This record gives sequence, structure tokens and C-alpha cells, in this order.
Amino acid sequence: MYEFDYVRPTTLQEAQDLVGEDKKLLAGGQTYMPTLRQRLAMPELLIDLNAIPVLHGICEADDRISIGAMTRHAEVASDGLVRSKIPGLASMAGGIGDPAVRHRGTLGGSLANNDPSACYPAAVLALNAVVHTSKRSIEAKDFFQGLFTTALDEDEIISHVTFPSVPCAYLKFKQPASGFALAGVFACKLDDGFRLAVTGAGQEGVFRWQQAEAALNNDASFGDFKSLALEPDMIEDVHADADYRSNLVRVAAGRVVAQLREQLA
Amino acid sequence: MSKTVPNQSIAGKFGFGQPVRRVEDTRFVTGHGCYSDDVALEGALTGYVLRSPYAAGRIVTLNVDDARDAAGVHLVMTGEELQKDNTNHLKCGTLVKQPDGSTMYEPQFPVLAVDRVYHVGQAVAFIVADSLNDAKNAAEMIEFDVEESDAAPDFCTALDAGQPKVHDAVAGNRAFEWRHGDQSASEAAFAKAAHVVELTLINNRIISNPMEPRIAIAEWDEETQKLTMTANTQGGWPLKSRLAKDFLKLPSEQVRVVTPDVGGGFGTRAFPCPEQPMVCLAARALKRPVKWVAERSENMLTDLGGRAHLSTARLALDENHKITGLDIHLRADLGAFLSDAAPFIPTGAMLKVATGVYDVPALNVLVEGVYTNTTPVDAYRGAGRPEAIYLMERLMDKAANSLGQDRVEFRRKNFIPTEAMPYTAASGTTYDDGNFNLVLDDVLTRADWAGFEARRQASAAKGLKRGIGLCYYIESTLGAPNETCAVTFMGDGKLEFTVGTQSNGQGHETAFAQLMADRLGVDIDQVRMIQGDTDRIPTGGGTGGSRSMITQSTAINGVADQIIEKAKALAAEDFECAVEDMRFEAGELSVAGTDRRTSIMGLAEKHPGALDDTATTKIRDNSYPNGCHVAEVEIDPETGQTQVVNYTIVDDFGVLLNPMLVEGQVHGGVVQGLGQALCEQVVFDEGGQLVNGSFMDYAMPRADTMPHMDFHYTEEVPCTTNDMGAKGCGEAGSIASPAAVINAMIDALKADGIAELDMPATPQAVWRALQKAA
Repeated sequence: MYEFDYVRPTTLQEAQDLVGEDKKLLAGGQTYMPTLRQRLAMPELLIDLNAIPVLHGICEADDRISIGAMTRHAEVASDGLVRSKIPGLASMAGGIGDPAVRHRGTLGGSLANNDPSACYPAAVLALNAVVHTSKRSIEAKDFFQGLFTTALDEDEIISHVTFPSVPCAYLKFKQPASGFALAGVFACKLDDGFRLAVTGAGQEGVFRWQQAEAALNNDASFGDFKSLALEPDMIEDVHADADYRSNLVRVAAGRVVAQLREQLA
Repeated sequence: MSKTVPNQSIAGKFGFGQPVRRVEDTRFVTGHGCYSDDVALEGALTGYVLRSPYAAGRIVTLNVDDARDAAGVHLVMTGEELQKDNTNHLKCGTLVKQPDGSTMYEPQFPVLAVDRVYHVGQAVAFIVADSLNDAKNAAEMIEFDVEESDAAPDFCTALDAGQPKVHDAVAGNRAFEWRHGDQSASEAAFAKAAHVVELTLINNRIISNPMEPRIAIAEWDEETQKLTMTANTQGGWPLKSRLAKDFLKLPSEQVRVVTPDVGGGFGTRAFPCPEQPMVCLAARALKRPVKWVAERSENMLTDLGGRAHLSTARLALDENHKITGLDIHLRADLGAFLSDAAPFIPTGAMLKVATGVYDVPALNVLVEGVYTNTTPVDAYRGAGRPEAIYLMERLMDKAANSLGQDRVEFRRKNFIPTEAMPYTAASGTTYDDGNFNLVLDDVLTRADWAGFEARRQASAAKGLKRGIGLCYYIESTLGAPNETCAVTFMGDGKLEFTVGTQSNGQGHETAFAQLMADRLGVDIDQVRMIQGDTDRIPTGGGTGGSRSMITQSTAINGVADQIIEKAKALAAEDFECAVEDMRFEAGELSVAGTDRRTSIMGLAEKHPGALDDTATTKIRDNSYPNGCHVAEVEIDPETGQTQVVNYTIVDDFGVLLNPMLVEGQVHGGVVQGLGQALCEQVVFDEGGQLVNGSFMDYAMPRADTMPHMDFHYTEEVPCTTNDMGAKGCGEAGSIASPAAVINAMIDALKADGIAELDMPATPQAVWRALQKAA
């Protein structure tokens, strides 16, 4: 890697004061460390967020579950509160990468990166979670803005994310090498109806499958996802063609909705 | 694990035939192994290779001036300099003869590129600096411009008319044409055949991916003018002579190759690679040690490829479904240059078992070597034999299925009968022994082949398609038939013995110590195996071709016999009796009918050096390990996902020294084969770029998707070509498992009209096959 300066602040304010162009944030490092090692990034300063206590942890507040941006996937997967209140989120976090990734990778890092094949964006979008930052609060529907693009400013730091406590489920078909989603569907039922968010498949990143949501809201026992239109263009790469990905989305939707129904019953 | 017939006498819990636990594992799993990267030489500099990002083209500019002046840089080496010194050619050791009697043309395999580049990842310049970062910074200062030309990266199409030429001097990218067999007899068999079955398939190109990447470290001693290379080899002797002769231009005794612990060989580590001469020449020029370690992605891009055949086979059958002829046409990817054994693998090595375990009267083989604008290809676990068996066993299933025959009975009908052994096949190979019905009966019972239909129905009730398949494989061991063992008694109740093989993780330190201890009647912790140093061990054949057990054990056996005879004579003198009256048993020499006795270690202590001895032995022929693997799969038709739900093995490796180590070898081999069958595949784009050159994109088999393996073996058919009765086991698993699992998948899908399926049978490939069939 190229040489850079490194700091490890202990408060969010310190980090906020330092961040900016070429002054990059390091969360779990599961994407950024390999990028640095391959000399694909040349930051002037690396600001390590790992020692800021306020960014860690899970608690319940005002009927919502708040998860700190630096909370590891393994913590979310094993947390009793998350498992009982947002079961699909816990199982999703428990299926990310491998144990090493899950003990380093963080919620905030995954959201800020917005990899089109990452799992967290599907959960956050489907649950309409709120992303709280050092500057403001952003609703999930406004947060994700396409491949590796979010509403975050360059000098904005995610502090925590709040989720509603609702029945929900997640199912992904894995890309066999990386374990990322070839197609992943997160399903839940909020007050205004069913929500299905799809990751791994859309060329513009995570998206809500509105036709499926409408079909379920019309008939909660709907199951013929193969008949529904899937509007976004699908990713085509060495792992899967577009038609296979859309098939996986449809199959995943059918299976995950079946899981959700079991919870709702 | 169980064996069919226990036929060995039990010589204590560390004796022959016992599942002794690996003595080296404590070291390996506690971080005390010493791998090449752990070798830290004082004052060592770091090497880094600038590689071509282009697959094909003419070098317009290669300007290293700024890099030479960069901070921390000691040397920048280019191909032009090596060319002048005549040290820029990695020679191929296995050029083949063509049908017209000519030897194939050998293009230069340059250490560093000169004038042109031929594949992405080809070495262009070697930078030696104080640190890796310094070297990388300097590499970015090198001006390297290439006038790109079209590339031919795909071995399936590179021979087609109109494809870009890899080498100007090679028409149509055809590296060689090689024939074997009796073409007219084969043609006659096909002309008369009642049935002809044809199959074309791709044996997919893979990256072997040893856990340890490629490493080369060189140290030059100015005083003695001697070069020591430390590298993760499969035996340092060929490398030593190559480095001395072709690069350092030194007498071979002035080169020493040391091989520390090795984290995986798989054939890939058996052959010289460009970085080895680079570090040697740099160390001599700088008079400082130079160390080069491949990074993981660099290793994936530049390690020798494996497999990569486009194969067509035709089977001629009479009206009773007896095979009358076999015609094989292979196109084998060689990459851009000829690695050491590359031409041999798809020809001589493949041919060894081209007819499998079947009685094939007429054989005709045509092999075409294909140049592509890709990293060179060479041996990978099994090396030619997996390709042959995969083709034959897929063809056997296709024949049975298309003729409405039972796959098992069709095989039985065509087996080489045990009574016919030794049997010389149309390939020219003489199988010394084999009882294929015995193994087949056993595996079918253990896999409950007869009860499959009930399991199929149970799967169908869950919406899953279940299939069962088998592969009856046979392999031929390869490599040098001779091996040496030298024993030194240390005088402290212990002895050291040398081997000319090289463990890459197989457990040689355990197995060979076990044998030596058993033969001399001492404890296993009294014997220590020495390997991996060409100064201490003058000759050796290395490890490869499943040769280690059969060759090295024979040498250990031989030297133990000699030592026992010497010990008897020496003890007879001490006891003042006739040598005929001396008895040797359980490590003790005694005078018959008396209580006068001495231990062999005691005798060695009393007579320092007197019992030390060396034996070089030779096996009479290769051995022919064989066996049958049965795979059972469940396929989810909605997603194409396949789960291997049962995997049953009966192997015939002759007599086993340590069944636990053998089982471990089989596990690893099966997993590598399942990886090739289900997920592994090297993908180059049209421009010759490696598309999946990282573990994020290149799918290795993983523990959580691998089946439990129900492993059994028979010792009823000992090998007759070596004194041990052993057959070798290292490559068997990877030979058997691809055909077993693909045959099972085709069985699951045949009701949908699917008769063929290529590797890797990924979920998408299976789903697509089902879509097409619907």
C-alpha cells in the first residue's frame, strides 16, 4: 500500500473534525483494507473509527432498535434483542461473509460502501430504517443512490441506524466465491404493507420490488412471483447472467415470503 | 473408514499399517512450521516483478531508468540483459515427437519479456529494493508501452482459422500433433460397429491454488561462489541442475536448493518458474540475498494452470455392447509457453490410462497442443490421468444411457477380467493387477446403490431431483522409478534417514518414520526423516505422480535390510558366534538359543558409523491404483443448486502403511475434483484478461458444501511391481470425483432429456440446461 497518516480518535467529534477529501474513514476494513493493499486508494489520512465507543452497541429506544454504526455483523447476528424483535436482520447479519468478516465488518461500513451485492442495504431499505449521521437523519428511501453511491457527504459519518421491530425474513443465494448475494431478498410487513427489497441483482443497486409488494398487499397469500415483472436491469457478470439472476430473485421472493408468513401467522 | 480385509500383521501401535497420527502437525498447527517465507536472511533485499497487463503485443518502450534511480532500489533487471547473457530461456523438458518424426518446435519461454508480450501477467522487469514498497514505487516509474494486438486466449477456439497467432513461428497455434495407437484397426472397428457413441466435453481450466504462494529466495556466497536457493518445491534436484546449467552457468555442485516446509504442491510446484532464475541472478549480481514472494492475486494470475482440454471421444461397440474400439481426439491448452512437463501431460501421461479399466481392443489417439495467450499450463494433481478418466467414465455413462443399458452391468461386461492380469492395454500400459468387480461389488453395497429408487422418490417429494453416479478410475503412478535412503546413527539412541521425495503436506515425516521404525524395531521418536536439501541428499526424484510411497518405501525397506544384515554380522563378532546364529526381532539382536542380546541402537552406539548405510532401489514398474467412487446428488430445479448428499469410496491402493494418512489424501483429492466439477473455472475475457483472479471471484470448494466421505479400501490386491505391495494414493481422489459427481447429476437430469453437462456444473449451468430442455 501507499504510505499514509493514521489516527485513531476516541470521539465522533474528533473524527468529524478530521474527515474530508483524501482523509478517509476506516470502519471494519473489509473492503477498504484490500483496496489499500492493492494500491487502488491513496489516502492522505486514514481515520480509524474503531475506538469511538459511542458508535458501538445495540439498544431499544422509542419502540425502535438502534444499532451503532461500528457494531459488527456477528454482534447483530447474536444479539438477543435483534433476534427477537427483528429476526430477519439477525439472520441476515449471520450470513454475511465468513466468521472473520462478521467479526470485523460493520453495519455503518456496509451502508456507506453500498456495494450492489451487499446484504445490509436490502434490510435497511425494506425496513425503512433511518440512518443517523454526524449531521442529520436520512430515511433509507433517500439514502441509497445507486452503485457505491449514497446520500452521505464526503465529511459525513454514520453514527447509528434505527430499525422498527417487525416480523421480517431474508434469503440470499450466494455468489460461491465471495459469499456476497447473487440475489438476496429481504421481506417484511410494515404498517403500510409488505415490503420486499432486492440486493445483488439490480444494476443500480438495491431496489424495492414494487410489483411484488403490490401483489402481496392485494392478496397476502400471493405466491406466483414468476409471473411478475422485474423492472430494473439485472447485473450480468462472470457469476450469473441477467435471466438467471431474475429467476433467483423470483425464487428467493417466494421462499422468503413463505418464511415471513410463518412469522406473521 | 474401514478396510475390507485386515491382512497385515500388527506391529505395535506405531507399526506398519497403523493409523499413526501426523508427527508434523503439532508444528504446523501451532505456527512452528518453517515455510519459505519464514526464512529471513540477514541483509535480504525484496524482489518485485513488473508484469504485463496486456495479453499480446509488441513492446514499444521499456524504460527502467527512473526506476533504477528510485529510493531504495538496488537493481532493475530486464529481458534484454538476460538475452545478451543467454540466461533468458526456461527450457521445456518434454518436447514430443510428431507423427512425421520431427520434434515439436520450442518457442522461447523467457524469464523476462523481450520484444513481445504473450500473456497477461508475463514478467517484464524484476526490481530489487530494500522493501516491497520501495520496489512497487519503482515499478510505477517504469515506462512500459505495448502496441497491442489481438489475443487468442480460448483453447477451445485457438486452433480455428482466422484466430490471432500466439507465436509467429507457429502456424495456427498448433504446438504439436501427437498420435498413438492403431488408426487402421480403430477405423475398422468403427466401420464394423453395431453402435457408435460420441461425446465432446471440456475439461475446464483451473488454478491449483496451494495455500502457500510461490516463493524464491537466493543467497550468493562470494567466497565459495556458491548459490543457495530456498523455494517451495516438490523436490529441488531438477531445479538445482537447471539453475546451474541454464542460468548461473556453474558446475551443479555450486548450487544448493533447500526446500523447507511446503504448503501444497499439486504438481504446480514441481517445475521451474521465471522468478527462480531472477532471484538467483540478482543475488549473485548484488552479493546480497534476494527474496521474492508472490502475492495471492499475483499467484493466481501466474501459477501454472491445470487441465484445460477440449476432448472428443468415440466408442465403437458390438451388438452385445462389448467395446471394440476407442477414438480420442484432444486439444490441450499449453498457455503461451511450454512449461517443463506441459507437452507430456496430455500425451504420455494421459495415454497411460486412456482406456481406463476396460478391455479396449483398438485405440486411436490424436492430441493437438494449443498455444493460447495465457499463463502456461502444466501438471495438476493427476496430470493427464484425471482428464483421461473423466472422458472415459463420462463416455461409459453416455453409452449405457443412450443404449438403454444398466450403467453398472455395462461396465462389468467391459472390465478387464482379473484373470487377464497382467494385462497390456491398447495404450501400451501393462496393468500388473486389479480386481475391479471386487471393488465395484463392495462400493455398490456400501452406497446402497440398489436402494436408490426409494431415496429418489423421497427427494422428488421435496421437489428435488436426485441422481446417483459412479466413476471407476485407474491411475498409473509416474516419475523416476529409483529412490535412495541414507541412514546415519546419531549415537544417542536415535537415527536420521534421508529421503529423495518431498512432503508438500502429505505427512511423509510420519509415514516414512513409521516404516523405518517398524523395520528396525525401534520407536517412531527414535527416527527422524531428513528431506529438502540437495547438499545433504545428492539425488532424489521428488514428489509427484503418486510416486513417493512406492519408491521411497522400497528404498527404506532396502536400507533397513542392509543394516540388519550388517548388524547381525557385527553382533556376531561381538558375541563371538556364527552370523547364522544371530536373530533380529523387534529391534534386538540375539544369539539363538541363548539369552545374549543387544539392541540395534546399543550396537550402533558401540560401533560409531559402522551401521550407517545407503540404499538405492528401483521399483519394477509403475503401480496402478484404482477404485470406484459413488456420488449421490440432490438438485434444486428452481435454482440449479446441487448438493452432494452421499459420497462413497472404495479404493484399491494395495497394501497401506498408514490408512489415516491415505484417507486424508483421498479427502483432499476428492474435494479438489468436486471443486473442478462444481465451481472452479478460470475465465479469460476476449482480450486475455483473467476475469476471476481472486478468491472473491474464483470459487474454491469449501468445507461447508462438501459431503461426508464414506471411505473404504481393500488390501486384497497388493501391487506386484514393488516389494511393499503399495500402489500410491496421492492423486486418486481428484481423478475419480469429477466423473462420479457429473454422472450423478446427469442421472438426476436425464428424465428431463439432459444427456450431457460440462464442468463446472454451476447452479446457473444446471438451471440453463433445464430451461433449454423444457
